Amino acid sequence: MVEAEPRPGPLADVRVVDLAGESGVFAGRLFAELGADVIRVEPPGGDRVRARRPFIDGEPGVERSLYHQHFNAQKRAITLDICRPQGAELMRRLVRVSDVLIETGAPGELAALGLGAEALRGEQPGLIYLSIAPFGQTGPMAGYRATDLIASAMSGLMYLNGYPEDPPAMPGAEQAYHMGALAAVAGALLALVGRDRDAGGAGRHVDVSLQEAASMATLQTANANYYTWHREVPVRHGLTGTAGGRSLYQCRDGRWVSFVLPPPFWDHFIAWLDEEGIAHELHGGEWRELRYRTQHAEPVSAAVSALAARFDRTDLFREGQRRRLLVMPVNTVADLLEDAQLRDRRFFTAVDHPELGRTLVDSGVAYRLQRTPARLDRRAPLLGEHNAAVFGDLLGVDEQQRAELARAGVI
Amino acid sequence: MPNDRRLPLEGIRVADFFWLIAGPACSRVLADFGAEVIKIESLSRLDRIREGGVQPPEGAVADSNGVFNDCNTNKRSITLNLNTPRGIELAKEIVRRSDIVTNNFTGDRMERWGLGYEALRELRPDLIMLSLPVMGTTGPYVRYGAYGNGVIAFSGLSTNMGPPGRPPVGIAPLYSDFSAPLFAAIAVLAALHHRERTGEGQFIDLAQAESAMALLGTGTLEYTVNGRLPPRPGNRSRDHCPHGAYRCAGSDRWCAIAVASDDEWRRLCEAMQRPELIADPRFATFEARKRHEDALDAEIAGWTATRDPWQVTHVLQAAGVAAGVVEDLADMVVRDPHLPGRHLREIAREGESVSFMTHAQPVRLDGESPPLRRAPLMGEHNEYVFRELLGMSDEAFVQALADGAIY
Repeated sequence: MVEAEPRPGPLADVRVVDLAGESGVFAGRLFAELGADVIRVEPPGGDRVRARRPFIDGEPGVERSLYHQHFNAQKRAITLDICRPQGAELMRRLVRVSDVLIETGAPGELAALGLGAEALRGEQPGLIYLSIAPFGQTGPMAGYRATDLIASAMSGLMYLNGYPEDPPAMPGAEQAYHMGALAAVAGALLALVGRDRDAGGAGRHVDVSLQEAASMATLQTANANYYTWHREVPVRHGLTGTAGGRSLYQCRDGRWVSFVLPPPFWDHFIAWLDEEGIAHELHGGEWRELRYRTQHAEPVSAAVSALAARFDRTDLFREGQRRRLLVMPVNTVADLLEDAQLRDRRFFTAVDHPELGRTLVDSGVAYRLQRTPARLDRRAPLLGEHNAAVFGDLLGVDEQQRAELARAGVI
Repeated sequence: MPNDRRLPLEGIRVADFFWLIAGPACSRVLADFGAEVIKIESLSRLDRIREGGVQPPEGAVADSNGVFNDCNTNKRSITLNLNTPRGIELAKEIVRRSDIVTNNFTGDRMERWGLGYEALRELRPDLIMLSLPVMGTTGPYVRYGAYGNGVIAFSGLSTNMGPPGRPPVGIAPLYSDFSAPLFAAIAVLAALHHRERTGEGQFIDLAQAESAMALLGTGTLEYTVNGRLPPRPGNRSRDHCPHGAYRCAGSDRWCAIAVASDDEWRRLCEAMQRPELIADPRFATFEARKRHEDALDAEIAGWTATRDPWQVTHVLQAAGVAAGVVEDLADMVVRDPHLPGRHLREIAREGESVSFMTHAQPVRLDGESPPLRRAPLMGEHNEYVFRELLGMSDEAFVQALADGAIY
């Protein structure tokens, strides 16, 4: 069924001013997918996000960064030099007609321009002022700098990855930035729902720390009580999984699977080994106990290795899942584009970018809201593409004034 | 700004069928920020995270897994036998009084109980219902399961990290169990905003695996647009140099350093008291540093090798260089200047010697972090929910216990 007019997203009435740098650029993307009008504010000439690699065909250019294309999809963009008084004044006018502001400056940086939380909430009491900083707005390290790598390191997330004989491995694709943005959007939406439900309709200052947000992911593997109760410090194990046994195995075709034996279905595993005629020593009743298996992991790993070596990856995955064992392929993006489930659910999205003459096929949205779907159907904005619409239509700055501001280098 | 406002979700009730980790970590966000989350538990389908895991040194007391206690703060717990008709009836009475229903079962478990969305919206038309299975609620893999490590393997995150040529072990700490719940909280909160405006509820289908694929950054576009799978990066970056973890003094101690500009490189050289490196043509520009990255890393590692990683961090940060200890758990709990007390907090359980170290929310509203109340014991709130909330009489309550509908 094709709908003539796509249903608006759940945040269709929300306007977001997006001042975020790389560490928070994903937050605005999440708002935009959910239907908010996200207006990215860049300095004239473009911001650092547009300079991030990789570039299309490896050639730099303000519209050619795939980082920009991915993280700014679905947004609008204006250019504005907020460091100048006229620019800061336009920013205040924009904030008056907005609901959320996202910023990733060093604590105090925007306040110095008269654009701090207190000042802007004075202009717009309903404003939700979302600050994402490496170590939050307060505390002994509030002034410290961090990239994704540093936040991953200091959150405890990095120490646990990789092989004991190697350095700790950085999570791929900037996961501390992603965790920070996810916590930030959840926090801003809490403030938005609070605003909906409170008579006063006041906004809040939402303060998110990348270090704290990423550290949430260590909650199980490096649960703090391992240390407080036992002085244990969990370390990285390489091929050995985190749940006591090994979880990564190589298949007949040389490819890898994650293979986990869920406690209720141990018998399914034994039956499979027996059907395959794989010799093993796992028949005794003691092996049914998870605790025993965890303490005697080697014979279990040997049996799984023998099983994996008999099958190609896809066959082991499908057959293992049929037997209710938790087998998952270790996919590349190329595998995912061919995957039956993701095709069936039309997970990937294709967006035309006429100016680049490309169709951009990207991962889709994470959730399916039946009545108010999130969507990705607009390419990232060109530099200053929405100056006329935002300064003109939204803020009432006429064409002549805009030309003067442009000459002065403000927009 | 003084903050005497109520928490944003006060007055919202959640009928919470989540179990294990990814689900409860989502409803914990709602509970911490004021929602009344009623964790509906079953003895026949025990939330296994209540057991095992990390236990106090004096041995397990009731429900003392540190992981369970961190994922379930501020919730209430009831024990309901959903394999009895009366149990289902009581579950529906709770749903009738709830704004949100959550579950992370695989397949049609809720439908088989008669608790699918179509049935429940009859009771509560503006209901928001979230299903958070591994593969979503449709498609050929609808019955497939995994823990967080399997979700990460499936999602493509494992093959775009780590050193080239090594088996793709990916992110060890069951990462998607903590990213998926945030996506889920975002979806529920967005739906709640829509409901506040329009009165409409809705069903939300969230596949944990798809939400992990939304964390691939440029990984997908790089393949579909440029036609190649990017090489696995190890600890290096295409936009920063130097960039990596450098071995420090001590056993398995490391400090991460990331330099984004020539100016930061100069400051790093000065902080290392190696000003001659500034003029070294091998390292003068970003492109030059990338070409000589092995030599560059050796220079830095030579400096860090004899130093404590915290000392390296503080010296470099004072010089304006992004640097930080690759923190292990002892760093997080004891040595980090920020996390102990501010983010990791001790919650005592009344009448017992055991207390739990728990993560606070990484979000502060107007400077305040929401209060943390300990996770509930199994069935601790049966009296409150069945007697006060549902208004069951003494006789009806006792009868439900006798029938085995309430355990």
